[in-house]
Amino acid sequence: MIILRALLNIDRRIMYGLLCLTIVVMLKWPVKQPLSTTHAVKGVYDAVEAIPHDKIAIVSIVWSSSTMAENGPQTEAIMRHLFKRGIRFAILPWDQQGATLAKDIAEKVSAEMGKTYGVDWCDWGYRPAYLYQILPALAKDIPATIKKDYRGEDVRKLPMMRGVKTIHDVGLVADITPSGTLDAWISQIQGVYKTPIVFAPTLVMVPEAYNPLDAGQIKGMLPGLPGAGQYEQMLNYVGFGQKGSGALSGSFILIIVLIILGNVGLVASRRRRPEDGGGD
Amino acid sequence: MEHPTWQITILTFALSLSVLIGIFYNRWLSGRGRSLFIRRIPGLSALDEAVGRATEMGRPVLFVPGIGSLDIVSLQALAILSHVTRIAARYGSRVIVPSADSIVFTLAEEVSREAYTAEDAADHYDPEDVRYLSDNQFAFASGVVGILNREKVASACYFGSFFAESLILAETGHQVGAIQVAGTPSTTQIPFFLAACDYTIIGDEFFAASAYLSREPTLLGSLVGQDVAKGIIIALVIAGTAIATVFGVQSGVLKGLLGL
Amino acid sequence: MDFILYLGKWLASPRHGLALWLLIAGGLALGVAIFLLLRATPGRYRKLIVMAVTFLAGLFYIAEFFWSGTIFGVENFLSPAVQPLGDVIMVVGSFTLLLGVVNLVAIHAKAIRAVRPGWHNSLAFFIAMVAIMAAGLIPYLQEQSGQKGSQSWTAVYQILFNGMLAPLGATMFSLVAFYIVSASYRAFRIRSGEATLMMLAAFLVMLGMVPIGIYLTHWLPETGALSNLRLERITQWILTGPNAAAQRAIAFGIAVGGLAMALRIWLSLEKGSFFDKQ
Repeated sequence: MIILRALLNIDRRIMYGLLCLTIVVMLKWPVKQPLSTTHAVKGVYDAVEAIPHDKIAIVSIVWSSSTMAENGPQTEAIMRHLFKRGIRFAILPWDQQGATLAKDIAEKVSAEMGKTYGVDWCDWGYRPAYLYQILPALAKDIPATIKKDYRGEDVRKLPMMRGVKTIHDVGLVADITPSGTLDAWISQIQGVYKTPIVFAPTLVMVPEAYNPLDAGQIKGMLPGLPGAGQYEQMLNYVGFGQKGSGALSGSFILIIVLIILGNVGLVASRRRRPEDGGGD
Repeated sequence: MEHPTWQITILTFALSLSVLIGIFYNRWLSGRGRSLFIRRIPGLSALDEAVGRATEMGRPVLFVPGIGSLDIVSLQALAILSHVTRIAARYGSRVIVPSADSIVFTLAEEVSREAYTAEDAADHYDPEDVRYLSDNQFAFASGVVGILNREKVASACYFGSFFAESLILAETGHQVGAIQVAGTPSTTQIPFFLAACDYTIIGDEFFAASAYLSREPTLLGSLVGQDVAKGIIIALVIAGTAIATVFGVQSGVLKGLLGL
Repeated sequence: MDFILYLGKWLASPRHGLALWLLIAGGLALGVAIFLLLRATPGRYRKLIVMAVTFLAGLFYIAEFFWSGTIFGVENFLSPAVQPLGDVIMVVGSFTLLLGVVNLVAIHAKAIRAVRPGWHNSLAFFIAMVAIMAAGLIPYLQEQSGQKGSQSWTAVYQILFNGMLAPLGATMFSLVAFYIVSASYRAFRIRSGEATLMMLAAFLVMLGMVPIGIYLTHWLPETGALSNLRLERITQWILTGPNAAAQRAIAFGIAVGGLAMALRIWLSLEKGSFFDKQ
């Protein structure tokens, strides 16, 4: 009974240790687990498949190193799909760290898939995150708003930007973010110009995103790391999305077990109390 | 800048009008010595208790006005800060206000100073208690965690826009044994505050705070107006559902009404 | 109208050399004059001025936003001023950043001078601030003056930003995972019927989000009535049904609350809080 009651107050350091151990073990020795594709993830896949070849895609990067574990695999999966379909895309980073990290991913994937900078993809360079101020101007005149890419070259001179003038030349916007930038994209771009948007948030933001998904304001969503894993499975490659999902499963199971143990302790302490003569 | 459709224009004016009518109706009512009922919001009632506890323990109160820039949410957070600081000034307690936005910091400094002055406790005001830490989300979070531990705060209030740092702050506050009150319109962070804080106010309770705390007729009237505005929205939702059920979601009737 | 447009264009047009310095000096002199004038104005008149400026600023944005097409034959002449005004707001914001830095420097300088407990942390603050500023500014200034950026400064920049700031940010964020474990362990207790329901919903959503949970019910058919018992379907239903409905309701409340607050500030009706203190 004492042990059962001790479960009511497990030392937090023990819980932290267990979590650390679970994550390390599951990352070191990943267990292959089947991923079922959800409607939201399929929506992203279908939206990328539906981009006409004469239009470009914008990959909006709002994340930094802190959420790289979730947003990194999402970025890679979307870029791979765009390259696979031969859709030209531009990276639009709104975060200083994200600018470098997303460019690194694009360089890695483009080298792997034999793609060329300026022809198949480009990087518009870091912009301060004043989305509400920048997006209306971007929609009306992309080259005039962006002006130069991250190398300082005139974007008009990039081969992939030929014929790209307004938001009507954009077939898809992928907003990859741990932050509340989706509202700006919906109100300034999707709501006004009907440009399709897909959303790749961190897992914690997912409950909030079902409203725009349900309303058709976003075509699809990659919910955090599992979303990236499902997308990787659809694209037939194994990335961190699938590998890391095992660690996530392990962590969730640990949380569930700890909650159950806490409740066992609670029930045990309640049973004990009448004998002690105490009440709740 | 894009302009709204006539449907949105009419809706905005209708909602604004209902709020204004509520305000002036309640002013008229209070002029006749009558007042409106406002239900109890435990989280806001707990603010007195939180400051009182800090005073008894001889430790400071921590007030975080969110990490957002100057907007409606931050302004409301500052209004609550004013109330908390006035109670603290009355008791002769300290309120530490760390800020992640330089504009909010400047206003927080002003609000704190004025609150102490209004309570004739200007000598208790320490300018170093209102601190600008960093506009980097996690640098700010680590700064607040440091304050929570070093200053051994007895009570912590989190009001404003919060993101991923919310649980880091609230859980650290719980670990140092502070009584914690939180309020945010950031819906994704509400579960974290609920799990780690003693009191959490959610949704539009956050915007009702200044009315609740001051009981000022204008603000109470605004709450009545807000309820009428919500009634209009509910009526529109019911009407939209009925139209969509009868004519179909893709029907021209619904699209015409929505301006799609 | 034409005058406003002309003034907006004149202020927003780029300047260099003496013209730029003259404009800055003129702006500063105007700012100081307004400041002194406000200081000299009696309290109640000053309050009236603040109310009038707040009202006019709000009116500008409201009129600009809702003024679609032509009204009584007049085109929306306010729109071109939105961008320059946005720039003004950003400039004012940048100056307040300076106030923030001054506050930081003052607090930490005092801590070092008085050799307060933990003064070495304040010293670390100054070292970090100078190092980061130097690493960011020196290569930029070198590039501006046409020199080739020094390799060693680029290396310092890489170490400070990618080697320190990035992992520190990631570490702080990863703390959330640990805190979620301890917070959920404490919060999900079957103390009442509602709490039990909440806990069950949390279990289902957590399991339905990850592969292992999906695997638990993968033997159920993918179509037909029984498919609704698959964990990912239940999760989907919770998220798109009860969750989305609650989120929408909260969002409506927040939007209306925000609108009411905005109206009160615009019309200077927000009394009883910090707005009417003199």
